Amino acid sequence: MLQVRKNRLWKLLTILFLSAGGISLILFSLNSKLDLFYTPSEMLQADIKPGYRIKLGGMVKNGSITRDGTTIRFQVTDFIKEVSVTFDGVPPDLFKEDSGVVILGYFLDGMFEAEEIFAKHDENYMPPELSIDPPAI
Amino acid sequence: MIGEISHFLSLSAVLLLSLVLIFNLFFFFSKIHPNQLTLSMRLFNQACWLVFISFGMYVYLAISDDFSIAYIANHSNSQLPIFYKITSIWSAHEGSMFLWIVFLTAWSILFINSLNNNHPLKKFTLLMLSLIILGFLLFLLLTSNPFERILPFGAVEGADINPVLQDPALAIHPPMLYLGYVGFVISFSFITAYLLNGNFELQWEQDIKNWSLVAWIFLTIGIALGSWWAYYELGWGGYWFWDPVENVALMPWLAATAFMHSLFASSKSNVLKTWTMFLGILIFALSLFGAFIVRSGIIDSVHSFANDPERGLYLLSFSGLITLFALTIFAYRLPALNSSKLVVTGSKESFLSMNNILMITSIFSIFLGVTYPLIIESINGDKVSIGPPYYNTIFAPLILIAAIFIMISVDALWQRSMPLRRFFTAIAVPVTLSLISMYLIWWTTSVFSILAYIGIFSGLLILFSYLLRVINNLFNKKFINKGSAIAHTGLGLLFFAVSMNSILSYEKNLNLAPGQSILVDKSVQEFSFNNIRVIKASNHDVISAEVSLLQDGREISLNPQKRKYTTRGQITSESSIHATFLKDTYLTIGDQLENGSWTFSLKINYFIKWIWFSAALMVLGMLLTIFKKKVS
Amino acid sequence: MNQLLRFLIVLLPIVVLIFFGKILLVDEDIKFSNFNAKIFPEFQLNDLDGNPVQSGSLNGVKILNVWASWCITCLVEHPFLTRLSEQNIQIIGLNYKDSDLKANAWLKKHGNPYLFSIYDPRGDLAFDLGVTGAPESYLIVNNQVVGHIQGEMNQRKWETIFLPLIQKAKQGS
Repeated sequence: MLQVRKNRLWKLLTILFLSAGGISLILFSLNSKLDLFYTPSEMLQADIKPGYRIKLGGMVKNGSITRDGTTIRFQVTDFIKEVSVTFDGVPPDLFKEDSGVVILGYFLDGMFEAEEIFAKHDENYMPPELSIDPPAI
Repeated sequence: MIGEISHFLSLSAVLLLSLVLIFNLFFFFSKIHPNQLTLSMRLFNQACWLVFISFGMYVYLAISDDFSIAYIANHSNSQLPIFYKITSIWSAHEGSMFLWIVFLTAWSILFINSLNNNHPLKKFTLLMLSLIILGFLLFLLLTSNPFERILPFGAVEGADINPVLQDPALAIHPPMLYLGYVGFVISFSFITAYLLNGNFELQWEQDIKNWSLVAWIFLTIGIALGSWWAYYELGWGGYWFWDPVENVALMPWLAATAFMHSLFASSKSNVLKTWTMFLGILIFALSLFGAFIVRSGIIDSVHSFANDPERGLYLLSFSGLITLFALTIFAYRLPALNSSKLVVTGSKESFLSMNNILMITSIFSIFLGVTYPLIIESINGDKVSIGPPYYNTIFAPLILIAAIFIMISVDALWQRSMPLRRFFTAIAVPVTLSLISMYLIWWTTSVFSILAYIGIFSGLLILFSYLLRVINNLFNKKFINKGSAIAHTGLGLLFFAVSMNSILSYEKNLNLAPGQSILVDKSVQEFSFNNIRVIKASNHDVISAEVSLLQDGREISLNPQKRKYTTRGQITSESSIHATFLKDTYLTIGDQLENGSWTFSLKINYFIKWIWFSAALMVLGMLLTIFKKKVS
Repeated sequence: MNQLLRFLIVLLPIVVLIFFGKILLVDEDIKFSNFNAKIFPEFQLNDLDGNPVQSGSLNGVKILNVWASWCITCLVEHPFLTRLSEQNIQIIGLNYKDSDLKANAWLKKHGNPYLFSIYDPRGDLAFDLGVTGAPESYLIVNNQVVGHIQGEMNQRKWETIFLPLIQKAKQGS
């Protein structure tokens, strides 16, 4: 009789321990692996630590795209402030001037180094199953 | 005219289903009408047929280019091949909802008619199914009507369908996925009926087992197709992005996988029954949740045009109500359900029970990842996103635990604790071999990532574990459950391939003029940009680049393209993929620079074929399980 | 323990329901994410009086309202549009798949809340805009489409959808 109780106690403790571990891991991951989203004005105002990966969203400024070999440079604007962005590689199909864009990367020395570019889909054409934005690394 | 008839038929279906419900509700409180069930079944079957015919007519409308129907005008085009005219029906919300309902109806009519008329659960199951189909039909007709007309003049020509959608894989992906999603309405309804009925001596597992297994297959295929499409179409070479839309498909899949395993324990040893019931309800609840998330626009709500929240509210309320209904009855009956049988520690059942907890944890983690951005935004207005870093961190330990369970538990015994000797035999060789392999991998690749290595280790544990069992089976005639072996091997392969892919794959960005050739690296010795041509096709212009590579001593031709579609000026990229056993060479063309040269993105993706193969293995394993001859 | 479990099984879905319901109902805040705006399509059309529409006419904050003389629901929203125009909200009409004779007669009979109406008998501009029918309204700020209402405009939609966007636009500039 006592043995059954003891077993139950062990089971309970194991579950509690694992749950605590699991929940801690989840919470830790949630908080440390967030990608915060900023518009250009918000980003310039905020105090971003250099190594911190963030998302920058805005419009690609008209006439700002320049290409130098495989590197692309452009400006992202929210019509209040602008940020210069540099990206190496082939951007997604919908990436063009005067169009919405979200960029994942780092802001260093006044330049935003993009790791991934997500171009916004046209809502009219996207079926519900396809709201995945094709990223480009 | 046909549009009106089709619309009318759907409305009639609504009427008939309402009658079924009202009729039974009315008689619930009075003496049961002698032919109540027969009459209800007749009404129900008729209602289902009305839905099928209505949809059939709708397909006809699409094929015959009836652009007076707003939805068809917005998503189809007279120049489309017939196949794509049909698939354009489910390319957006209203039409895909219609398809969802058709499948819901199809599963329901097949299942309910397979039950004997004196099956004690038939009536309640019928009522549940009627209620659910009715709710969705009303949703369709009231908030997302595919029959709306453009008046007084229909459109002369349909809008050009998004070229990205003119793709066979993408066309089949939603039907497969929906067949999976809605297939679990059967376990949902039947289990709820069981709980309502109250007779807990009844055996219920066998009645829904094969139905659920088939639904699982569709769900697996649907998810795999979506992933495969994303890989070759989106131009990145990625196959899974932990996007909310993908996550809400993964959650029901995990629940369904847990359900199946739990079902085996439940029907074999009469334990874990309550778990199984809970899971059977959870799967469909998660499907509903997925439909809500995807169609209400809520996840993207702060980044898109103002959406009428009407649709979201309806789906939320309806899904919420039926889920709450099922769960409340479950909670209410819980004391009566608890089986007196205890699960023996170290038995197969105990592992299955721990597996349920593992799956629930996985589902919960994903759920949290999907809703966390919404929670944060509600609280302090910050816009955040949760992406691969979070999910990779969370899932690494989870798949390791899963792999350990698989490694140990397959040799576990039903209803008896596992002898210590057996335990050590089960783990000794796989662990050793896996550690050795991991060392070899590190030695040859010199790449290290803790998360990826956890994944590799997990995959190897499972693979070696089954290798051992196959050897035992061949030489010692030890029994092996073939279906389970194949499916789990597929899973191990998946863990292994995904992890290896993440550490070995790389990308090179290149800039060449036509006629130029460069050396890329040790493996891709010569990259020659031979030619670039402009071709005119029926509805698009093509810029086609001809590239040849000398890779690992072999000559490969690649032909990446950029297409510009005439109607909307939309530009898409068609990547060129050369897939071999070990790796995929994936080439995308970028833009032309002022000096006439072009940019290219060359990606070498490892073990991609293994990923698709692992999905195929899982499906094959499940098929074997379904069609296994019953051992008496 | 069991009691707690039963309670939780019912409580958790309720919490989820309330959470999402709240977001849908209450947090109907539409953040003015400029990056989401799309440029108003180019067009070469006349207004209902036969004069070419100037390209600069979509500067500032304007409502573009898609309407037609054959559209019954447009009559329903018409009084509200009239009220808006009296509050100095600038509304430009897009006369959609209509005859100019009938359109002008309609305006004469019911009143004209529009600064002017673009005459789009074939629906070319409407097609580029993604118009699905009449009535439909777009919020244009400096030649960019930043808001969209399908179906008739009324007080509720105006307050919850367009007004916040307009306020944000005014703050930004």
